[in-house]
Amino acid sequence: MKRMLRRRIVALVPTLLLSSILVFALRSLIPGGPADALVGSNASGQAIAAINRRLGLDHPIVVQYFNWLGGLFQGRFGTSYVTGTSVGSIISERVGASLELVVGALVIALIGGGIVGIAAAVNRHRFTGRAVLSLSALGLSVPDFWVATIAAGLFGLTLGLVPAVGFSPISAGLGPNLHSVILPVLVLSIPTGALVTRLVHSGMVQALDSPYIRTAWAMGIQARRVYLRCALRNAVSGIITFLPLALAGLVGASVVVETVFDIPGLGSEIVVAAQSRDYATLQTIVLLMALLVILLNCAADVAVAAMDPRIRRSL
Amino acid sequence: MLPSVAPPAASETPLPEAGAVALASRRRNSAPWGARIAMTFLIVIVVACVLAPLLAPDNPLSTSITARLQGPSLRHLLGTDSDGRDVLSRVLYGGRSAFEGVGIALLGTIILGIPWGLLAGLAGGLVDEALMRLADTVLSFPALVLAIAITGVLGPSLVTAMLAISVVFGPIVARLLRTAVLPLRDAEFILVARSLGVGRARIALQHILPNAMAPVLVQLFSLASLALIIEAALAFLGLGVQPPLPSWGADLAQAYSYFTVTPLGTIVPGLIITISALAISVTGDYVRSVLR
Amino acid sequence: MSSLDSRSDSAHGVGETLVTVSDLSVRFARAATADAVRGVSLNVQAGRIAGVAGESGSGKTATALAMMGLLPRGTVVGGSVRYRDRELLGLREKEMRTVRGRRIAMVFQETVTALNPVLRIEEQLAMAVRAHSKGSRGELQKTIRRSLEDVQLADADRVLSSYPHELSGGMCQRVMIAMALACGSEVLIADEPTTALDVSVQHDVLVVLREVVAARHLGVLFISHDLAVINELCDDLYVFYRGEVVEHGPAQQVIERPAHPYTAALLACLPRLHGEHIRMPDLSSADLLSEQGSGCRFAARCEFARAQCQTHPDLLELDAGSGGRLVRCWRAGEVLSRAGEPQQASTQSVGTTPGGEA
Repeated sequence: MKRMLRRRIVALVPTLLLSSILVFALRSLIPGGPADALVGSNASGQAIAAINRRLGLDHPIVVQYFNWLGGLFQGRFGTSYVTGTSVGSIISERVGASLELVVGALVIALIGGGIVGIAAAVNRHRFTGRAVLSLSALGLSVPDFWVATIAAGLFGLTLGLVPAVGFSPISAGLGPNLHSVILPVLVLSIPTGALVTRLVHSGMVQALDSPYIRTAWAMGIQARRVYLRCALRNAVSGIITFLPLALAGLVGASVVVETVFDIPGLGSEIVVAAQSRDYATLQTIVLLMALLVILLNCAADVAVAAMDPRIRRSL
Repeated sequence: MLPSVAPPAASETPLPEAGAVALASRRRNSAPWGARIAMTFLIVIVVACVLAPLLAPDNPLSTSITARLQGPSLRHLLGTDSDGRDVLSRVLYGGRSAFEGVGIALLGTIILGIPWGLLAGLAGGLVDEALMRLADTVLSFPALVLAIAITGVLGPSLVTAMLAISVVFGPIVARLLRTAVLPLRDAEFILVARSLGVGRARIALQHILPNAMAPVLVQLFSLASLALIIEAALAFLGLGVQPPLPSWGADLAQAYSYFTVTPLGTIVPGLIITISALAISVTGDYVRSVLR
Repeated sequence: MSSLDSRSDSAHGVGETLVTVSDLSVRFARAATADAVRGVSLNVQAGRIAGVAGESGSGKTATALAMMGLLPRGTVVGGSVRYRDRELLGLREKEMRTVRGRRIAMVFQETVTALNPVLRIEEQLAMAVRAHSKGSRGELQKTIRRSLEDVQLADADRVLSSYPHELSGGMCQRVMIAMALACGSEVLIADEPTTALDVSVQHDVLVVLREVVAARHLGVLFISHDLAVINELCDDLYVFYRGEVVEHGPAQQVIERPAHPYTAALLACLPRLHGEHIRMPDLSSADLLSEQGSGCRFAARCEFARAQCQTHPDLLELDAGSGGRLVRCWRAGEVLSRAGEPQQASTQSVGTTPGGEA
């Protein structure tokens, strides 16, 4: 087990490095270079050269990369070209809101989606089970910005139940915080919840149709036990493999939800950064998001292996 | 922004549980009604949008200060938006650019993904390992986030947005193709071809590729559906088609500010996007069941 | 072979009838025309092993599932299944669950896959026992270990802490039998339990079955397409053909001297070392239809068929001196006398007939 853990962590390193290279390479795609964005292409060659020197852009790109990477390790995330504030402070200010949204949505998606998925699997031969499955397909295909705008418009603007925009941090009180966050979290949880429902359903159905479940019925074991202790245990590992994918989807969707609900998180920040060509901020936050997904991927693989005795024993 | 996961086929003889009903209906030779509706709708809307210049009652760009935010009427079947433009025309022309965009995205995905996957599958060894590592790395970026980063860098427009989507989808196709190619490498008919002296490139393109394409083809439908939604999302965020050009996503964003006055402007583009994406993905499910 | 000889002579079996199946009929929801099981009657007695033989599709498994109440919903079941003095057909699912495992248990053809791959054997046995009784942990352990002993799994500690994939097929099958014993079943229905096992391992399982029957007076219904195994193991034999019982009697007698043309044909088909290999005539689709008709279901393939066989034969007793044998054939007498000839004699040196489930 430990050996496998070490192997997985070692395998992580090239992936992490590669993603940092990818992100950094985006820079080279910029037509005209970063300096261009700051002063415009009409600026004099001198002005551009000055900026290049200031930002360290006159070094060969490989050197720039290592400078940047080294800086990251030392906690220097760079400075926004546009606003002048340090990227590090931007991140630390905004990460709280994003975390709350994403974690909240994940929990709701897992619990809600899980329950619905189990119910759909148990009732899979009845109409309700199949109806739920079709609904979940719908949940996956509806664009999140539409759901977000309709929800915010309906519950926020029209009915005034919750604030349609704005975020009240926990420091300002738990009540107002939950009030401002409940709708965006629910909206965010829909596509992931639908995915969890389908995964749980398919995992459970696969288990329920296996010979060992038939044995459980034949030995007279009670229904609830059969579903929860026998079938669900087998379905869980399939779900865990998909979790990083679900989380990646959540992070992506949070961009939209934060924008619609005007929540000061990392997602809304990268939209602003992209619009204003603020590469420093953009690339650092994007890299951060990718790192999170990569780490979670690794964790999920390890968890799956830990849970399946067939794999565990063979290590 | 999540790929769809299809449920497994219902078992033929379900094991008994409390209230289990043995009902696994079989499909006959013609398409199930859901698929037929989806395909019909798809054809209708694509044709309508392509023919937008002929069908649209108004120029989608012509504004009118007096006719702003009107509800549906005979003159404007879907009403007008906040700039007085005819919504129906905007929807038709917006669809044109949406499907155009999907086409570009698919083309880009194919151009990027197929050689990638083919090479990885056939070369094997270190090349395969490296190419797949690269694919996995790209795939660890959430799709929308990577697309935002790329359009942010290249400047927002329909083309850059679609390029971004191709970069995100390419690795998916590459992985899929590679998985399909691997078992074919040592297939008997391939060995026969090689023993007859057929060149390797020829074998790859004429023999291996057609046999491996089936799952890729199916996946392209779900990717097309996703591309439509991501393109709209990017436009919604101001990073895709730039105003005043008609775009379902951008129009939705603009109309949202006037939600309390007329929610129709927010509902209509979203509805159209959802139904179109669903139609594409249902068609894809049907194609998959046919190819089985 | 010797350990299996102490059978019909032993006075261990009480002989008490535990399960009586009367005139059972089963029709699946999707099969609008044919009955999977038609008018089947059989008994399971304590301390005796009743064999059920037949090809795939003969209704053997459907009968077993009907007895256990494990048929999919929507299946039409008629007739009666009585356990002691309790009618089982028509019981609500909740009530049926008190019967399954606790009174009547079933083991299937699958071995390793019939056990949950992510739970240890101990947990699975405990779960089954706990479903029916609420003893202390100590009592639970005792029950489980005793049942493992009964199925001759000596290294109980190792078995209990293992996962199914770490055990062999034969061991898993014995664990299943142990599970049934631990739950306290009096009746065991075994549906092709040794079909998926190697011949050498088969023998171990059969020995275990025999001993368990002797020690605990279990009543066993042993379903198999393999007449050789049935010959070794069973006391009584029911031969099934297309949903009906066509012959019944003491197992060795039926196999040695079959009275029904189908039984005779089955035996003749068994591959053997010497002599010609005989195949049963294939069914054409026209024959299949005629088998749906009102006459004898075997007529289309039967060499003894005559005009009278267009009337569906009843299950009749053979002559008085035949030791309680029943046959569903108008011409049973002739079949019997033909059976005396050398062709049917050698049933000793046989292998297994390929086949599957019912």
